Amino acid sequence: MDFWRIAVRALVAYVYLMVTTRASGKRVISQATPFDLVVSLIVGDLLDDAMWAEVSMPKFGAALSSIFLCDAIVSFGAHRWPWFFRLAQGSPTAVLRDGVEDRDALRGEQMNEGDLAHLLRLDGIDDWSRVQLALVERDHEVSVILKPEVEPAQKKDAPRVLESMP
Amino acid sequence: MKELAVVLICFALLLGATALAVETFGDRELMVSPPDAVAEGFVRETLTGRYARARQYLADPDSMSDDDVRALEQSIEARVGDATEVEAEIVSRDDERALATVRVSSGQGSEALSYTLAFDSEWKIARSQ
Repeated sequence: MDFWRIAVRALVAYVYLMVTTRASGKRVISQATPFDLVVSLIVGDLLDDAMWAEVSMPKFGAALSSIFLCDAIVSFGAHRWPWFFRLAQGSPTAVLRDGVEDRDALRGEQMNEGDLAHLLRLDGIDDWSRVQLALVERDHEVSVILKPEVEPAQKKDAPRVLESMP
Repeated sequence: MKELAVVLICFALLLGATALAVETFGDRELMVSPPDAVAEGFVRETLTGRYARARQYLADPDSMSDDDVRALEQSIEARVGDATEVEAEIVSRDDERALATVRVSSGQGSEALSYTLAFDSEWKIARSQ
């Protein structure tokens, strides 16, 4: 196959992918869920088939549009109905409460205590007793709420501190 | 719902661009799969046992049954063995018909298979020789 044909097909596929991706309101990679990764792999395979002329451009467009249409419909449903949002996107899982890990919840997230310790250390937390609540979010990041007494003092705490002073 | 409309409009534009390229500018291998890719796809699907998908490359998918395609796979493997390479090239081509050969190679040897393709919105295999 001529090089210029490969280039033109790649360009058409690229522009089509760019426009449909923007239209579907895709999130940035850091917010991607595991399912977004699966969709990305499928799209990558479609793009490969289109560039090497294994399928015609309309077939590529039909497949890609169908994927993004499904994604847009799921996003629309998730935006409209909270129960559908939880079904499609999952919900955060509490894996640590008041410094004590929830082993069942960790197992459900296919994590062990070492994984949790690793993620907490990335947040600068080595002492679990400081944690009021740790949640595994939909994108598999861990968010942490510290106990109020270990949070750094802020300006709003000043009156209370002054009151407690003799 | 704006997203749905934009995706549908994009698809309609792509269909329109393809129709324009094929019907007006006589495109036969840019927006549609070229004949060598079609012939190669047929042989690859056949040799990997995906008979139903292989038949979709035929101008008349009902002209061969899954058993016929399986028999073709077995006959190729009997002559060439387990294929390690499948590569097609166009021998001749005009706007309506094309002749492509697909070379199937393995450690045992290689064999060239010839296919005549006809264009009807896209290239399809009309006959194997």
